[in-house]
Amino acid sequence: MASSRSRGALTASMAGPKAKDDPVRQQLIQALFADSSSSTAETMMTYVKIYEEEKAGKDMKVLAGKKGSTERTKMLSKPRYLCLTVKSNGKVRLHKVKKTSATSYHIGRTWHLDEIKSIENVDARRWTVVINRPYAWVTDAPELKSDFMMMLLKVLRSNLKRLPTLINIDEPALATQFNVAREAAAGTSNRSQRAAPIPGGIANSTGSFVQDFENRLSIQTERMKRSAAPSSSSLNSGITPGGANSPRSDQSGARMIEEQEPLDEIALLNLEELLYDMDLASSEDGVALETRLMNELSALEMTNVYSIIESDERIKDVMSELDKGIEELDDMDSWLSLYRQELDSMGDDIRQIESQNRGLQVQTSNQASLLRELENLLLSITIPDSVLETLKKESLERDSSIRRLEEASAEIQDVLLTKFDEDVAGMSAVHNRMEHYSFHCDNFAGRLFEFLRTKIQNQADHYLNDKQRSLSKGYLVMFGYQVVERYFIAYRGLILWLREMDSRRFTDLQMQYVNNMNRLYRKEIKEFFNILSTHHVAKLEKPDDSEFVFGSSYHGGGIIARGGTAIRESLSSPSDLTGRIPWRKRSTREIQDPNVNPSTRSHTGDLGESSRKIEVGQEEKLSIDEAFAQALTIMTALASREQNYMSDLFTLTKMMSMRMFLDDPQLNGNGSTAKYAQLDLETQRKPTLDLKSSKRLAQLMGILFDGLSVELNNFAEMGVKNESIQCVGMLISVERAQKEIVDSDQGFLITMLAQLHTKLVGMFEKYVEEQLKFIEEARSKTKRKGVLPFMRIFPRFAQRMEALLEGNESTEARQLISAAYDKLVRVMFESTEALAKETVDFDDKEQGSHVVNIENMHHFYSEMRLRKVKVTKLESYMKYAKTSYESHLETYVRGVVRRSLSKLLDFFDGVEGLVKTKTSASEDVGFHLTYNKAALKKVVALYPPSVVRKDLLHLYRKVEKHFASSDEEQEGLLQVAWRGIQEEFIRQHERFSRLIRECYPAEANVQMEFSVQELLGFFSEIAKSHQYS
Amino acid sequence: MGKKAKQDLPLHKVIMVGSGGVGKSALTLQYMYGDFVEEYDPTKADSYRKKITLDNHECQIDILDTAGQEEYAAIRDNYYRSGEGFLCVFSLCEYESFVHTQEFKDQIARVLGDDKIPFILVGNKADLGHLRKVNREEAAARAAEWDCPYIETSAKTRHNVEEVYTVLMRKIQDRKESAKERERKNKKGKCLLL
Ligand SMILES: Nc1nc2c(ncn2[C@@H]2O[C@H](COP(=O)(O)OP(=O)(O)O)[C@@H](O)[C@H]2O)c(=O)[nH]1
Ligand SMILES: [Mg+2]
Repeated sequence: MASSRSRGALTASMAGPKAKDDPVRQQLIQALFADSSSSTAETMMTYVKIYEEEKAGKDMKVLAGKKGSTERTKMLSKPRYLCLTVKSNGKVRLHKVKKTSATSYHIGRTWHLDEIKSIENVDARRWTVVINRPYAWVTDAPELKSDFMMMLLKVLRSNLKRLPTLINIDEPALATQFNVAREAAAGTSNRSQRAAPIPGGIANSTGSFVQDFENRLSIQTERMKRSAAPSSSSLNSGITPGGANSPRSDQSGARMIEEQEPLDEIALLNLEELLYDMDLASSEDGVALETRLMNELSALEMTNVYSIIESDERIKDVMSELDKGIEELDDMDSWLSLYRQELDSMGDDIRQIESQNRGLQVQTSNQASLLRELENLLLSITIPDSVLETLKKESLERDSSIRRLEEASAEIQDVLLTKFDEDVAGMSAVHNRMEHYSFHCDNFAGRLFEFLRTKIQNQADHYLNDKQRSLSKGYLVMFGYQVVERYFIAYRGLILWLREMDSRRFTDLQMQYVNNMNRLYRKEIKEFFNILSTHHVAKLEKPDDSEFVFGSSYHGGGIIARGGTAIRESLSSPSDLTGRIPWRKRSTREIQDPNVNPSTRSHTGDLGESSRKIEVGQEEKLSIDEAFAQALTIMTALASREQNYMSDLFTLTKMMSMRMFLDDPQLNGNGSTAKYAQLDLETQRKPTLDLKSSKRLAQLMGILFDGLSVELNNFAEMGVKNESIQCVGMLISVERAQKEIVDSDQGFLITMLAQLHTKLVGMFEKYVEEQLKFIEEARSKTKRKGVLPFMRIFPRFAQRMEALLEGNESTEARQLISAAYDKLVRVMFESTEALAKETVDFDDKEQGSHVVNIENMHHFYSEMRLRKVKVTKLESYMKYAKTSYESHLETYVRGVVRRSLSKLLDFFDGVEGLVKTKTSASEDVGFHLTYNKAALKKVVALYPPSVVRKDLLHLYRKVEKHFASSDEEQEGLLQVAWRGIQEEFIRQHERFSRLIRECYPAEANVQMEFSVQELLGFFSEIAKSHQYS
Repeated sequence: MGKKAKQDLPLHKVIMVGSGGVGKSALTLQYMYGDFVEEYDPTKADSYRKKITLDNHECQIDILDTAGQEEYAAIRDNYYRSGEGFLCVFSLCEYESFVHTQEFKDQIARVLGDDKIPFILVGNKADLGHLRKVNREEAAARAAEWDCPYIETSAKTRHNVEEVYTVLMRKIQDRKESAKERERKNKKGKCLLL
């Protein structure tokens, strides 16, 4: 109660400058003492602006005295503010405050009152306070200093039992000054108010008493005012003594009276106390006391009288005091509204704190759930140690172990392939765990890879040295590798895992596989072809020494160079050759499945289902193209199976994850046998759309079978070298093989066969070119007589080609061969005709030419028909040959007859000419000088039967000679020609007879000297004489 | 014997890095198989192996074609650790991909703790001149800053494809050679000390 009393009193009445009018005061409160909410809050009672006088140092300035330059300059600090504050518990403190900016302040030092040791007044503006050290302070104006000191002293007095030492301080003077200052501040000059209660004399003698008195008085006043304060939040509240509230009257009179009474009461009260106080001086004798009291009394009376006289004045004073009181109340009101504002803002703060609190709760629960999430996450990416142990130690050998490893590796994969967002992945808990698993994963990948690598290598080494697998004459097998296939397919799941987790090792594993298997295949394929070509291929003793070859570089001039017959012994009879070289139209042998025929197992026992064999007897030989066809069939089947296996083993062409594989009971059957049984390696597969994997498969196959293409090429070259035309047969086999895989994924084989095909086509084209050259060259080299060698060879060649092509009509080979026919025949015909024209091998060049044409065209046509070579492309040539043959024959026959009967023919041609031109009637011919009867007789006489007979005999010998070479081959052309000649003779005879009849009168009686009968007789004579020759 | 020789061939491990779609796979396939792949199928991670002749010496190249947006950090770090040379590819038609090369470069340097690793900055899709977004000067400047070659390629036309791998493999080979050299010298030094 006491503390709050003193606070209230001090703040309200002692504040020097009025709060509202003093911005510095407001600022200080605002900055330092506004916070009234906390228990340690302080309220500023008053302040004074000072400068500190000190030894020179930083933060000081030279301040020139305001009142002129006469004053000496001193080292002063920047302004400071001494603030006197009171806490809610009544504790009063002194602060030294520094201004830090326009409106902000900082408390530099704080002292408790009892720390003040002494206060010394120096001069009007300067004073020294000793606390822990002396402080010399200067104020702007003397009254500010005295006001503050006054206040300080009051406070000291009311709060301390022992005052600090006061030096050179005149308290009453101070008090006076203080009141003067207050009055000055209030704008009124009222000496009586000051003089009345405290007469100067008394004051002088009993300074402390008066001071005390006034102090008490003022405290009482304040108490009274304060008691009204709590309820005076509204301006309407009146101020009544004892704390009673009553509406304040607006009449100043009424207010004055009401105020009067309590004041008197207080005076009495004080008087009692006063008397009590004065009791202390009762040791004085009664007289003295009486005197003194009398004195006092008279003084009081005087004062009283004075007061009464001046009562009007006092009313004024009271009025002004009341006004002041009201002002104070206004102040208080503004204070209260300030408090309310403070409270309101505190309310806001509280609400804000509450909402923050709620936010914190949400955050806490979020963090809790985050923690749970994280725990779940860590749990989800936690792999039991047993799994890691399995990966580390479990054997890779048995089916059951493999199964366990599959599960374990899938588990680690699931975790390692978990997708985290960046934040989660960045968490060190997650990161570390991942690193750890990644390490295990890598170790297992390494272990798996090493294991499989070693196994593959061992398997390859084993089979490489397997004597059971060596081939020999009569034993031509390409062995399968089911054992290897079955063994490794057990690891398909783990290999799939490797593909996903370590693509580098995965690629490396593929390389290991193909490189090692390549060692086997390379060796075995080489051996196979070696045995095949050394023991089981029918070769010509002399290369290209065959009935199908037009010319031979080996023989230099070749067939033709040998001379007139132009046919070598060996070629004279195609059947001989057929017996020697067992070529077939097409392979009638099927590749044997060794398991079907138990007899073939005798050699090594079970060959396995994927082993493939050519059935040959010990000494049996196959034609080159047949051998090639069979080898090719075996090799393509082998390679295609191997590709299918690799594609499955490494899961290259299927989009499948390890999980998918493991979860598919179909694919991942129990144990390797089940896994293996599930594979279908023999059926061709559709090409994959994934270019990458098909390219990779092709690359692997290229490494695996790098020996195959070489062997096939070598074999083909060997065959063609032996007999050029073999390329066609091989070409056809290649095309057949291509057809089987054209729609499959066998990229490697497709490419390899395409290359082989191109090569064979090249060989064939080269062959055709050579033949063409040969045919053209034949013009200058050959004896131009008889059937020309190329005409003889072509039908056989065509027949062989057709036989090879049988059933392959729409192939490239067909077109290739047809085109070759076209080129060859065209050149052949041209050459034939050119040769015929230039022939010098006959008695008669012209007739010889006809003979060459007749013989060759006839041979071509009849041979082709005989051999039943029916090729659309060749039909026009066939027709051409036939027509050419017929016309040449006709011309030949006519020519021959004309030679014999030239005079007759000339004569009758002339006769007929006359008749035809109609220059004269047929009867008139006889009158023509050249064709008269005499001339007729003369020419007819030239051909008596004896001459005709002789001529005919001679003629026959000549014709016989013409057709001598072809006659050797029993072509029968002599007979054909001779029959034609006979017919021509008879026809001409008939013609002559008719013309004689028509153009010469019967009475002329001219006849042909030889009759038809005689002619026929001669013919039969010739026929008889040559029948048995 | 043939087999031995093949397995003893030096193996150079190349890693393709860069954003998705810039043509890492296309470059790899063009180099491996001489073929251009039109369809775009984001890569997981794929490894290729090929025997080649580099400056008259037989050797093997191992190319690891990575995915641009690799999610599996642990695995990716493993991959990078195994690399002996890097082709850092961006698309000349996509500025973003050029910006990303910095990240790849940083990551490689971080994982390997080695900024001397053979490295080439590759600007791909040079055939699409009309779509170009990254100019040569800017890319060359970045390469100069990194102290590595800058090569523009086209996986489509095969322009510079062979070159970019050859240049990288030469760098790898040179580095291995000088490492061997150092080793030899070290050994010699030790012998002398003994
Ligand atoms: N025109 C053109 N297209 C390209 C080139 N390189 C790649 N592409 C195409 O860009 C796309 C993405 O290529 P890809 O190799 O899959 O990119 P990756 O994600 O880096 O492997 C594919 O459609 C490619 O065909 C190039 O040099 N020129
Ligand atoms: Mg890719």
